[in-house]
This record gives sequence, C-alpha cells and structure tokens, in this order.
Amino acid sequence: MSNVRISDKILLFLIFIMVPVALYFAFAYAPEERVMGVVQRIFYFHVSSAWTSLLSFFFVFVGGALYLWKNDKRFDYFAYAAAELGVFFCTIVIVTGPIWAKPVWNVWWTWDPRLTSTFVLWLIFVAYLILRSSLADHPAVRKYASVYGIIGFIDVPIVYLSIYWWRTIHPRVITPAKVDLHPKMWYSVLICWATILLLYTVLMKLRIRMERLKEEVQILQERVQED
Amino acid sequence: MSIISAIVRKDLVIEYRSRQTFVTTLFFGLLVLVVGNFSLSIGGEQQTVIAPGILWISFLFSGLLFLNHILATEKEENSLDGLLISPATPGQLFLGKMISATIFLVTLETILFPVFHILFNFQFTLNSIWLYLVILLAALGYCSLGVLLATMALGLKNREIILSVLLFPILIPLLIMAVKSSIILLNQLKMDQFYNWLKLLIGFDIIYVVLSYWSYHWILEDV
Repeated sequence: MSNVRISDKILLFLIFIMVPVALYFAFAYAPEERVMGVVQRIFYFHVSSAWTSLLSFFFVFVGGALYLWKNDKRFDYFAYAAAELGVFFCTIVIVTGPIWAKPVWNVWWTWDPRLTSTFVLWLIFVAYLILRSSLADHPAVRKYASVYGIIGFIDVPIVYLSIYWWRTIHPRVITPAKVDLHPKMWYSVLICWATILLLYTVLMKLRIRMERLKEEVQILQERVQED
Repeated sequence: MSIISAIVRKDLVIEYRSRQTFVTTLFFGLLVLVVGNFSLSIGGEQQTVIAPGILWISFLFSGLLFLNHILATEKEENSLDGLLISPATPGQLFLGKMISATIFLVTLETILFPVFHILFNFQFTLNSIWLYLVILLAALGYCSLGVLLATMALGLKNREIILSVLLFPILIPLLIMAVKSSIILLNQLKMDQFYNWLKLLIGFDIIYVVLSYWSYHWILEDV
C-alpha cells in the first residue's frame, strides 16, 4: 500500500467514520415516516445517489468540453471516470427506486417523468461507455467520447421537458419554493449525501489514476516493441 | 454555399442512379408499418392512438438504414479522402451530408405518408399538412445527429449496431415530440398543445444542428 497517498488515507479514514454515522442517521436518527413506514428510509440513499449521479454526468460534460478546448488528456480521464461512476450511482437510483415504489405506489415501475428521464439519462451514458469500449484503440476515442458526452448532457433538459409534459406522480419532496421534509430527515439526507460524495471523491481519484497508469503502460509497451 | 450544394447534388445523383438503396429502404419502411400492425394487433378505437407510433418506428428504422449507408459508401469507395482534401470545410461537409440525408428521408416519408393514411384509415385533412411539417422537422433533427454519430461509427466493425445504440437514447425526446404531436393531429384534438410540441421540436433541431455543425471537425479529423 506504499503508493497510497496521505490525502487518500485521510479521505479513507473519513469514510470509515462517516459510513456508520450516515447509517445511524438514516436508520435511527431520522423519524419513521407515518404512512410509508420503514421502507421510506431508502430515500436517504436513493436521493443522495441521484444527486451524485447528476453531478457526475455534469462532470462528463465539463471534462469533455475542457478536453476539446485544451486538448489535455487529464480532462478526458476525468470525464471517463465521471461517466463510469455516474452510471454506477444512477444504477443505484434505478434499483432502489422500484424497491421503494412497490410497497408505496404498488407498482415496480411507472413511466413517470422523473423515473423515465433518469432511465433515459442512464441509457445515454451507458451508450457513452459502449462507445468508449468499442473504440478502445481508435486514435480519436477521446474526441468522440467528449463530443458524445456533451451531446448527451445537453439532451438532459430536453428529455426532462418532453417527458414532463405528461402527468407526474413522483413525490416532489424538494421543490425550489419549500422543503417538504421534517428537519431531522433533512439532516439525514445531507449527511448521507456528504458520505456518498466522500466515497465518490475517492473512487474518482482511483479511477483517474488507473486511467493514467493504463496510458503509461501503453507508452512503455510501445517503447519495448520499438526496441 | 456552392460547395454544400455540390455535395448534396453528388449524393442525390448517386442515389438516383443506383436507386437500389432507396427502393430497399422504402420497402423496409413499408414492412415495418405492416409488421407493426400485426405485432400490436390493433384495431377499433385504440388504433388512432397507437398507429402514429408505428409510423415513427418505421421512420426511425428506415432512417437508420440510410444513415449507415450514406457515410459507409464514402468509406468503402475511398471517396472520403477525396472529400477531406477538397476545399470543403468540415462544417460544409456536415451540412451537405445532413441535407442530402434529410432530403432522402423526407422523400421516403412522402411516399410512405399516404400509404400510412390509407392502411390505418386516417382522413386527409388540413392537419396532414401539419403532420408533414412535423416529419420534415423530425427528419432534420434526426439526420443532423445521425450524420454526426454515423461518422463516429465509421471506423468500427459493428457500426450498424453501434450507431443505433448511440443514436436512439439521444433521440428519445424527438420521438416523444413526434409521436405526441401526431396523436394530436391525427385525432383532431385541441391544437394548443401541438404548438408547444412544435416549438420544442424546432428547439431540438436548432440545438442539434448547431451542435453537430460545431463539433464535426473533431469527428472528421481521425476518421
């Protein structure tokens, strides 16, 4: 473990403390929801994963745009890592959603605007990953992926708007006007989100480093073949 | 402008002389209408709501065939290098390809459009003209994204599959707009909602034509 940096050690230590704290907040501190009961507690992980994945997809967009602008590979490592982690957290959202929806809405899935747009978002970025893996050795893989990431992220508001013009049954808990949550629930969401963001940061750092090392290995391999 | 029209003319002349792709794609579009009818086994009152969906599935899939074709032939005949060293800028190449793909798709739909009306018992009314406009706008948005992504997929062995995987998730809003406005038009529902969809469709077209035009040179550098 000699190549683990001090900053990573501090982050890992923080996560080590925060995960039990977050679990305590989600399962003990937050009051039980009157109607939905215990299943509502999935909300703390569902919502914080949703925010994290949206943030991550925004990073794909930013990383792609910066890569095209500056032509610096590091931005592409960042975008690639963000896409993978975004899909990962988005998958958590899509899996935890139906688990909650079955007892509360009595269906696993409904084509409601938020569900549908999250699902479409997931599809777009899975397509991004498929593009990257099928272009693996192509010289322009980074440019193609950056362009696709930008196109895909710009599609998000259009997807949302076009799907929103159907009736919505998703609970609009957090609207710009007011927060419809018990304060204790509110704290719990924030603690859970903070924990997931910490985890996200560590995973991003590792993933970016992996991408950089892969590149180094490739350069070394080419040099060996030349000799 | 003359460069763009030269590219468009070149593509259309090639398609006109061989005609094979056009006829095959047209037949495929017709088949999808028929297959869609059987697989959804529609009839009676639901028909007016479900049938527009079949029109757009046929539109999507026949367009996909052609988008693959229009760039793949450039690569197979090695004429892409010629295009790249011609005085045309990447943006002009993009616009040329996009316009010829749109013309192709719209021509195809112009033939399928009355067939669709007849097969599914829709009346020709003033709304049919609006629907034709929707087809025009949808074809424009589809072909601008399609040309961009088909160029990306050019170097790949499994480019047909990859193109559909890349294209369809992004096109979902376009599909929603097209299907929703067709349902309103074909069922003679209130038009105010249709205008909203139409505005959104125009917005989609503007965003993606501009975005594809702007990003095409990055794609073209390493084809």
